[in-house]
Amino acid sequence: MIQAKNVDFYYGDFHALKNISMEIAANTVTAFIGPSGCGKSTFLRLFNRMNDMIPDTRLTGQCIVDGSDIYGKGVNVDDLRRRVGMVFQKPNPFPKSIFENVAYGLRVNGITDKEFIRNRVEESLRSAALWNEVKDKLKKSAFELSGGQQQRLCIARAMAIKPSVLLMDEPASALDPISTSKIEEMIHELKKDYTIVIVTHNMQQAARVSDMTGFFMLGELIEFSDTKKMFLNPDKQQTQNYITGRFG
Amino acid sequence: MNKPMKHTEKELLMLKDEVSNMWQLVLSQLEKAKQAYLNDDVELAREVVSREKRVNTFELKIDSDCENYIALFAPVAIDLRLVLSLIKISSTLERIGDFAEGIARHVISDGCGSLTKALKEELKIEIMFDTVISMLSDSFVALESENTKLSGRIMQKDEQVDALYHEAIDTLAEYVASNPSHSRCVLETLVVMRKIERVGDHCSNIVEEIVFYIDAKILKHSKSRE
Repeated sequence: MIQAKNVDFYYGDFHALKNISMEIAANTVTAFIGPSGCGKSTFLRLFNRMNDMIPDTRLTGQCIVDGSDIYGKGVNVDDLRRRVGMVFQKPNPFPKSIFENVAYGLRVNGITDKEFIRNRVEESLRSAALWNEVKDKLKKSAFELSGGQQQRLCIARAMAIKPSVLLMDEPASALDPISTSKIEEMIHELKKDYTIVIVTHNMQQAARVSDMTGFFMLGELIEFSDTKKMFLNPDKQQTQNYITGRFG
Repeated sequence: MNKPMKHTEKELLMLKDEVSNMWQLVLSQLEKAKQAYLNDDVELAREVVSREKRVNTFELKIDSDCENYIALFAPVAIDLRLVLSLIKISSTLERIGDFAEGIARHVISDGCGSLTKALKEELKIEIMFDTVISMLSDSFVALESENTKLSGRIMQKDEQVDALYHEAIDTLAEYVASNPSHSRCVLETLVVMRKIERVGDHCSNIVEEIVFYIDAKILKHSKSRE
């Protein structure tokens, strides 16, 4: 389970997240929606401490993953990122073969058993719905894949080290409808084994893939509820204005 | 200054206008069916029958426009509820139009005019007609003004119509016992009253849709309907 308790986050003087609290249940898909600059990606990135790399930032409150505060003393960030994987908007395969991209995380974690690595690569590629398309060209460069395939490869790479949580920051925004549909179908399948949090600008995508939806605006979590309810009868007028396109 | 309307809002407004126009037509059909029935006006009844096609055309057009709106604009929240409600309302209006036509056809074919005239006052058919017509026009106002406060009042009227219908059954049963040769016309009258009673039920269904659209509450089969 993922939990945020009274989270405030600052970029220098800019108050980017304001007193956010929420609980995300295990094995669910949660979508974050909201206008650009509302804080949804900032909030997502807190959960594998990606914001640590940005200078002059400050966090108060607690971010809890599987019962422990990930900003607590003595937390090993590498270990956290093994448990909380991240997929970005733009596919970012390494300049390596398809096989080595997926095996990379295993190798840097010290695994040398070839059989184990081979099995895990296949398992991850199958989970990412990519195996059938690449099984005969595993040694080819990842850059030879299409954008949609590259994105699924990155998802397979994130899954190879068996995280419990997958964070996805607009994973399909640069893809065509067919690739998008494959990613969405894969998300639907993956929630059996993973807790997934996805940031998306595509309202219909949020409606299609998620169980719960959070609507952010100006750094505040305006509404967090069951996706069906959110898209049929949101509680807040601001949410309704945004999802019906009357915002602004 | 008011913000300019977005084109998606304009499309929705056009859909709503289409349903409003259908509503006006069905109200006029019902009003004319009432006049035709109470005055045995066969000419007026024929006019109702001939205008029924326009009601059907409206339904098809609204269905198609709503399908297009859903396909093109993927509405959510209040917009989705409005489109879903409009589809159901137009289908219900079409059914009410059918009842108006059915009543008009009775005027044209039943030949019971002189017989039932004496009964009509006792059966309070005019009151039944007026009540369902007011239900239909009040529900129109509820949608136009997006005000669900009227809904309780409209649904109460449905209960009044039901009560009048059940009273009429008793009256007609007594009448046919003492006038067995008029049994066919008594049955014809009962069929007409049943149609009016069903119009009342359909008006209640329309109110349920309006409440779903505006308040996102489902009254169908629920206690809150009462």
